[in-house]
Amino acid sequence: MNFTLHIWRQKDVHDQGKMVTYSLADIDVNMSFLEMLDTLNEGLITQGEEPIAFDHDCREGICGACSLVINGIPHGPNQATTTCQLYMRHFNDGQEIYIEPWRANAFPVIRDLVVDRSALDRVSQASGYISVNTGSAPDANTIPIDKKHADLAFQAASCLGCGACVAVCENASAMLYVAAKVAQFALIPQGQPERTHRVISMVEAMDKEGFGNCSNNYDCAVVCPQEIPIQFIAQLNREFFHAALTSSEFAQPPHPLEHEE
Amino acid sequence: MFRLIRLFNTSIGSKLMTATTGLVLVLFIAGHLVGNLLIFQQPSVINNYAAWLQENPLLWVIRGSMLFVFLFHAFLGLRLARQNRQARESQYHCKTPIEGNISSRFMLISGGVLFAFVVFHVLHLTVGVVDGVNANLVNEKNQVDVYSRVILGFQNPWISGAYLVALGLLGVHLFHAIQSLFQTFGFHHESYLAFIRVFSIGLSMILTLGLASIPLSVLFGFLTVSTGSGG
Ligand code: FES
Repeated sequence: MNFTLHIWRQKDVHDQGKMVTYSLADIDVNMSFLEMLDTLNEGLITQGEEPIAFDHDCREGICGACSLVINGIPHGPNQATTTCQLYMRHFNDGQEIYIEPWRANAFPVIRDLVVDRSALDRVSQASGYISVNTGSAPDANTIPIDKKHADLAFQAASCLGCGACVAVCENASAMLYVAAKVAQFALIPQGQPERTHRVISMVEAMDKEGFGNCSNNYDCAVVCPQEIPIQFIAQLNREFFHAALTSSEFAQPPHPLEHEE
Repeated sequence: MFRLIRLFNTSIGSKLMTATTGLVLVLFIAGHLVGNLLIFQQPSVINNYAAWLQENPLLWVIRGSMLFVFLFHAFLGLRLARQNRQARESQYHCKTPIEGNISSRFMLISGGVLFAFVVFHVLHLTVGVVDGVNANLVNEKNQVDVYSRVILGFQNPWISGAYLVALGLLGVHLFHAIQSLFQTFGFHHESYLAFIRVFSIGLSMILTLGLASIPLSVLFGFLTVSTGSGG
């Protein structure tokens, strides 16, 4: 198969960056999208050019490292698929393919197609965890959990943190990510003690990172490789509304979210 | 107080406030619609109703609060839109629309047009400076003759055209708004998702078609000043 690729090239954070066109011939139909880029990079290296930088790790759809906006859609045209699980047989011979990095001010481009997604980590560090005393592991199944809630929490916890929701959202909003992180703990008993504090500090941290606001367009759930549903965003709104109305924490002036080192 | 400040300063808080003020505006539109439909009765009915409103001691309190709610809603919408634009300054070279949903950009544009329309509407039918000819019409009881004023106003196809366009935009604005309101307040369950959809389509249609029925009836000659002359 032959392709014409338009790929975003950018030296570093400060570089302006531009789209560069490459033609690529003799691609095997069974190659994955990332293998296709590997092939392109091998060619570039042989010609003495800089290879194209892109994120990847597991290449089996579980880690959330891969990204890429392919023809305007994060993770490409297939639903419930990460870029590493996308194959060239999903494209037509001779097709033009646009490959761009996630674009959001909260995700600065480090190089070519690689963006800095640590804004999401900082939001999770704000309170996206439960506090437990370490020691020997407790016996399994000592805390009863309603099956329905356990399943929902599991679904929320399947979020890879890849950032496709931010990349597709016309407001670059991270609501689906934050919603999944808040819901996974709000739904289970272990998450209850810090439930109110968690939603307040994660939402304030999200705003501080410069993500946009949710406009209820729901593109995020469509491109999410894990198909995290928007009902979690409604739950996040609900949790936040409740915390804002009833918690004593919210009646205090906001304190800096940084961890004490 | 900090509660309100913190709410006002967060994204979800701004959205909750936009939704709440929007809800007040929807209720106002509903009340306004019911009042306006009195025009299909004898002229004296809507004129008495208008006179009653004018004499009501709460009139200016309600006008003031509605103005505040309206301006606050517009302010929040603008601030959200500005933050959203700032959240992505570099655009994609290739953009494939994902779903047939109404974009937040449409809400901003339709909101802006509706803002201008409300100013025009108040100048036209409340202050009465758009078509000066009708502004001082009074009926035999020396009440402001709202009935004739509205009908004579809408006989100008440009004016009724402007109202109809604005109402069309209002309909789409409301359709997205009413659905969003449920999501923002956290109502989301598969058992009533279909209901929310039907409810938001239904309510926005009833409100806009109800209001549009007045300029349309005037344009098509179902409502004329003489129809009511006997009353
Ligand atoms: S590389 Fe790990 S999910 Fe794609």
